[in-house]
Amino acid sequence: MVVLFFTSIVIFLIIHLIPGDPATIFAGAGATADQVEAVKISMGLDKPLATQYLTWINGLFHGNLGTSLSSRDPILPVLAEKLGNTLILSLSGIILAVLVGLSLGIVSALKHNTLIDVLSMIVAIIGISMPIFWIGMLLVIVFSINLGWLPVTGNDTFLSYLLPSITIALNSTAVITRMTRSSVLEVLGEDYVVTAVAKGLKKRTINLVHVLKNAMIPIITTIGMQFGYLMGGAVLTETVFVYPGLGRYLVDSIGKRDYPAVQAAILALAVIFIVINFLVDSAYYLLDPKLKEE
Amino acid sequence: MRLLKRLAVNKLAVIGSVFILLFVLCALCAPWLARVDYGFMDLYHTLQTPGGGHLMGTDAMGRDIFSGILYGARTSVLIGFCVLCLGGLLGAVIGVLCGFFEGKLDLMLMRVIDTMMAFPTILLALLVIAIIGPGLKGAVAAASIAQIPRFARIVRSSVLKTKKMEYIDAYYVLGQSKANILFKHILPNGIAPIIVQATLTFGESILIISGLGFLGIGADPMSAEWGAMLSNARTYLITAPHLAIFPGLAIALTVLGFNLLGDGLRDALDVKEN
Repeated sequence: MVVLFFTSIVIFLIIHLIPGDPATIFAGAGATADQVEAVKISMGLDKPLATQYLTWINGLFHGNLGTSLSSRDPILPVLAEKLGNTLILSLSGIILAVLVGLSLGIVSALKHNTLIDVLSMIVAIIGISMPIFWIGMLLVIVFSINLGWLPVTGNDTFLSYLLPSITIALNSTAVITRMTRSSVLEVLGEDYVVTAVAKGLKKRTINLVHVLKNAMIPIITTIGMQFGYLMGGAVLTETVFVYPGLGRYLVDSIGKRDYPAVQAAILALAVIFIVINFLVDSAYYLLDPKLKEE
Repeated sequence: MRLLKRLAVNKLAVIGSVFILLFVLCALCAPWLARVDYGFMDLYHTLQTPGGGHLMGTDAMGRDIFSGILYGARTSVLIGFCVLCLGGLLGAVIGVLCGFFEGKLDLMLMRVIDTMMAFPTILLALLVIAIIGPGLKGAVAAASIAQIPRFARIVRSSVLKTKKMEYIDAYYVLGQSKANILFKHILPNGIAPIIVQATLTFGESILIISGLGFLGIGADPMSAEWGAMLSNARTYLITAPHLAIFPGLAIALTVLGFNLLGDGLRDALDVKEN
C-alpha cells in the first residue's frame, strides 16, 4: 500500500512535468487566451498541485480516472477494456513461455552438453537478441500473407490471438529456458543430489523431488519478472498486430499529449507490476521453508 | 592477452565478435560503402526488389535500403556509446556510492533502484519519453535512464564483494587514503561483471531505441535508423516484404553479436550470474 501511494505521487508529478499545456490542447487550435483560461478553470488546472492530486486520488477511489483530452470520454471504461485485452495477450504469452521454456530448460540441463542442449541454447540466445516487433512482422509475412492461414490484425477470432501470443512470448521463452537450465544444472551438482543417487533412488524421483523443487525458486523469480517484461513487450506486439490493448493506448496517448489517459494507463501498469512482485515474493515463502522460519 | 585466448576457445564468442566487427566496419565506412546517399530519393524506382542497381532494393520513397542499413549502423554505434556513457556512468556512480559507503544513503537509493527495476525497460523508457517528448534525443535519454538500475546494482554488489577482500584491509593498514583504495584497488578488481554488463547493455540499448523508433516516438521516421525503417516497412508488408527483412536482420545480428560476446566474456572472466 505504501509503495502504491508513493507510486501514485510519482506518477502524478511526472505526468505534470510533461511540457505542453493540456488546457491549450483541450480548447483546440485557434482558441483565445480567455477560452484557454476558462478551460483551465473548468478542468481544475488553476488550483495548486496538492489540491489537484487529492482530487485525482479521490476520483480514483470512486472509480473515476478522469476524462480523456482527445476523445473527451471518461477514461475508465476504455482503459478497462484495453487492460482486459492486454491481460489476455500477456497471460497466453506467459503460459506459452513457461511451458516451452521450462521443458526446454529442464531437458537441456538433464542432457547437458548433448546436441539438444547446444541447439536449445543457440535458439535461446537468438531468441533474446531478436527484436520482438520484427519477429511479429516475419510471422505476419509468412503465416498471414504468404500462407494465408491466420488473420493479420485485430482480435476478432480465436485464431487471431495465436501470432501475437507467440510474438510476445518469444523473448521470455528464451530467458526462462536459460534460467531453468542454469538453475537445474547448479542443483544437480549439490551434495544432496549426490546423496540421493548414492541412496539408490530412482532417477525420476531424484529429478522431480530433489532437483526440480530446489531449482524452482530462481525460476519462479524469473517467471514473475518475465511476466512484467511481457507486459512491456505488449506495447510493441500490439503495434505490430494493431491489437487494441493498453500498450498501444499508452503510446497513442503519449503522442496526443492526453495526460489524464497517460496517467491512468501508467497507474494501471504500475499496479499490475506491484501485484506481480507481491505474488512472486509470496511464492518464495511457499517454496522455501527456510524463509518461513525467519 | 590471456583473456583473449580464453575467449578464442569459445566459438560462439568468436562468432559474436565477428558480427560486432562487421557492424563497426559498416558504421565507419558507410560513406564509402554506400553507392548512393540514404537521403537521395529516386521516385522513379520505388519499392524495387533486391538485386539490380540496389543490393537490398528501395523503399516507398525510392531510397536505397543498403545505404540505410549502413548509415543505420552509424546511428546505432552512437546510440550504444551514448547510452553506455550516460546510463552506465550514472548507474556506476550510484553503485559506487551505495556499495562503498553503505548506510542510510545506500538503503534509500537502493529502494528507488529496486522500484525502477520492477518496471520493464521499455516502459521506463516510455515514461521518460512522455516527459521529455519524442525524438532520438529523448529516446537516448530514456534508454540511458532505463539502464541506470541494473548498472547500479551490479557495480554495488561488485564493490561490496571486493571491499571485503583481505588485501583491501591490508591497504587500510598500510595507511592508504579511501579514495586511493576505491579507485586504485576496489574498482579495478571488481571490473569484470561491469565489463560483461556493458557489453550486454550496448546490445540492449540498440533493441530499445529501435523499439521506440518502431513505435514512432523514437528517431525521426525519415532518418537512417533501423527501428524507424521497420516502422515505415509496416505499411508495405503485403506488397514489399523485403523492406522489413533487412533492417530487422541488421538489428538481430548486431544484438546477437553483443549477447554472444557478453556471454563469452562472462565465462572467460568467470563472473557469477546473480
